[in-house]
Formats: sequence, C-alpha cells, structure tokens
Amino acid sequence: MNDMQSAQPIIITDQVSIFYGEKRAIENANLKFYQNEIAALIGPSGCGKSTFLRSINRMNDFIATARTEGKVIVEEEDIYAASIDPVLVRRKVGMVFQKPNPFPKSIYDNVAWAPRKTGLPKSELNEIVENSLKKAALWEEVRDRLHQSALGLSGGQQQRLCIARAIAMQPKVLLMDEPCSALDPIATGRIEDLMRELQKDYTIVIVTHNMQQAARVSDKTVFFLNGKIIETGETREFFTRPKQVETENYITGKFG
Amino acid sequence: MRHTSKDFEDELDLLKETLLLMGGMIESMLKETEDALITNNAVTAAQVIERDSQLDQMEKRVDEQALQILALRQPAAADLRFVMASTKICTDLERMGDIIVNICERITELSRLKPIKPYEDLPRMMTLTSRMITQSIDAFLKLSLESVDLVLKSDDEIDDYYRKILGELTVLMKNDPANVDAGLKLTFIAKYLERMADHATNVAEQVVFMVKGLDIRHSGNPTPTP
Repeated sequence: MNDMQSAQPIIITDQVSIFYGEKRAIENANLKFYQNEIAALIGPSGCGKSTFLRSINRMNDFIATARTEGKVIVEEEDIYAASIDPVLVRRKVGMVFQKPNPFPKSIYDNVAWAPRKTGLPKSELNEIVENSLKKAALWEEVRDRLHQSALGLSGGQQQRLCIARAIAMQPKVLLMDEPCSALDPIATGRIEDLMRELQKDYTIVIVTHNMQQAARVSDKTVFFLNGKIIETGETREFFTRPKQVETENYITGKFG
Repeated sequence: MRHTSKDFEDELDLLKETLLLMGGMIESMLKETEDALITNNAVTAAQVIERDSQLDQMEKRVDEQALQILALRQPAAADLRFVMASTKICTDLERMGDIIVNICERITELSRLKPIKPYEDLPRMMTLTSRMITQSIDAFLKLSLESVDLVLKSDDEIDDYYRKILGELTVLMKNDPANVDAGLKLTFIAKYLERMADHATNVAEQVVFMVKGLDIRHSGNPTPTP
C-alpha cells in the first residue's frame, strides 16, 4: 500500500468463483484493492485475469453462460446483491478496453454521451467534457475540434478519449483491459503517464500481458494461473524477489 | 526449468561462462604468482602480468553481454539478480587481476634484493586467499550458500595473517634499516592479499543476493532488496 492509500479497501473480492457453463474460469479469488492504488493483473492467456476484471463491474453479465459465485464488494456494497442495478455499478466502476472503441460521433458527444443520459443541462455537460478531457490529458490536443468525428483521432488519442468517456461519469474505479496493446510505444508511454495522474483520483485495476508495463505502472501485482491467484505482492518486490516458484518461472519466461 | 526462449537461455549461459573463465584465470594466475614468490622468479611474475590484459577484455565482454540482456530481455527476479550480480562480480574479478599484477611487480623487485627472511606466513596467506577465491567462484557456479559461508569465515583469518606479517616485518625493519626495501615490498604484498580476500568476500556476498535477494554488504544484517 502506498502513502496515498487509505487503510480501507475500496474493492473486496471474497471467495469469487466464475464459471462459463460447467467450466470454472476463476476459483476462490480473494483480493483487496485500495483507494488510489494501481493494481496489475498478469498471467498467461486463458488464466482468467480478464474474466476476473470484468467481474468487478458486472461486465460478465453480458455473457449468457457466465455465472459468478462469492462476493464482489465495491465501497462496502455487494455489487451482485439482488437489489443492485448493474448500470449503476458500471457508473461507479468504469472500463477501458483493449482496442479504442469511440462511438462514431463527435469528440464532444463521446464524452458527453453518458452524462447526457442523466439529464444534465448543457452548461454542466460542457464542464464535464472539458474536465474529463483535461484529466485524460487530451484537452489541449482537441479543444479546437470538439465537434469533429472522434474517428479522426490517432489510436493513442482515441484510447485517451475512451478514458475521458469512462471518467465523465465520475467513477471511483477504472478497469483497464490491456489498454495499450493496440498502441505504439509513444502512445503507450502517454497512457502510462496518464494512469499515474489518474491514480490521484481513482483506483485502477489493469490487465496486461506486458510485464514491463505492470512493473512500471502498478503498485501491486497479482499473478493468475489456471484460474487461481498464485501470488499478490508489492510490485517492486514482485519483480525482483517473487515468493512463489510459479511466479518466478512466469516472470522469467520459464513458463510452459 | 529452462527458459522458453532458447536464445535467452543461451545468453545467460554465455554470461555465466565468461565469468567462470575470468574466475578460472584468476585462480591460475594466483597459483603461478605463489610459485613466483616462493622461487623468487621474476620471469614467471612477468608472464603472469602479461595475462592481465586478457582479463580486462573479459571484463568488457561481461559488461557488454549483461548490457545486451538488460536492453533486449528485460530480465526479472532471479535472472535480474544474476545479471546485476554478474556486473559487480566481474568488477571484483578484474580488480583481483590488477592486484595480482601489483603482487608480481613487487615479486620482480624483490628478486633483485637480498631476502630478509624465509617466507612462512606469506605463502600460507596466499594459499588461503587462493582457496577463498576458488570457494567464491564455486559459490557462484553452484549457487552454494555453504561455499559462501566458508569464504566469509576465512576473511577474519586473512586479517589475522595480515596483522601478524605486518608485525613481524615492522620488527625486522626497525632492527635493521637495510631490511626496509624488501620489508616494504613484502608488506605491500600482504596488503594486496588482504584486498584480494575482500574482493572474494564481495563475490560471495553477491551470491547471497543472487540466491536469496538479500543484500548482506557492509553489515551483518541482511536487508531485502529492494
């Protein structure tokens, strides 16, 4: 836990198991994520890390065969409780995906889209769009062309737009599923810098296949293997002195 | 378990091999130095001095290999500790080579002087230093903490030898100023051996870092790294 974090976890997963039909993709995952923490989830393809990530804002609800057991508690609320509206969960826990996926609309409308649904007046929308784009480190690049198509932006800019869109709803948590895998090293560097800025306001959980990225940006690293959490630790120690032999083998490339 | 990338595995093996070659060369140079001292043989001493340039080249090769691995492979965990330790061990081995050169230079100078006493403790100290170096290289090769212990324990014995030799030579030089020339050179040799033992200790400490990720330098209390 770094200095910026409070002692109280913002997300707790308690005995979380996730199934696709009969197949168990995640087995008894117990984790805590803290305010202003960046946590990286790593592991080989098919280990369940993205499945686990999606469980934190109920994105697995969109997969017909997916079933979740256990508790996922966000700000002291079990998000899988019957009384909970998953739409409200996703307002609190935003998500950025592997490939930038802006709407085929203007830059402004991409960011304003979700807040507008809540019936906010134009003046407030303008403020939200500007603040969100500033937080996503995109404002200076697009302030003069807010009403042009978002599809005209570069890949890195589109991904930052998607981050602006996610934070427009003022979430507490940002989930990122390999957000830089489609970006070049310069755009990746900008997103990584941005994550460190966003950390001041949000908790970030990122899935990445790039172990150097996990080492660079995260405070905590979690290693998944075959649906199980093998090791969780402070990132600096995780990549220099891992405790488990499976982790050692994976991060040194001896896996498989 | 081996690395998935055979090239990476080969690069790590090559780095280790180069360091072991350096270690082997130090051992053999020190053995010849011991013979040169006992037999007062300036020719052998000169041959040893000539070999030092090979060590210098190996040092550069180790640094280059380590740099390549860091740049191209971004090693982690035990691999990272190995590469880091390799660059430090290589510096210690290269310094040992320089010290052997210093010893051989003093042996050459001594060969032109009248002996002031039969050598007793100095060859013993050299043998012990040589053993420490062998043990430290063995520790590196086999990642053996037992060998590390042997090296660390011997360091105190080396210090005892140094104090004893220094005391005896001081008396000889005080008693007869004609002994000063040779006495000083022998004092230097004892000091050089003491420094070599320190370098062997450094190598052993790096092995602890490689195996356990603990930094035991400069204190008896190991601290985790980072």
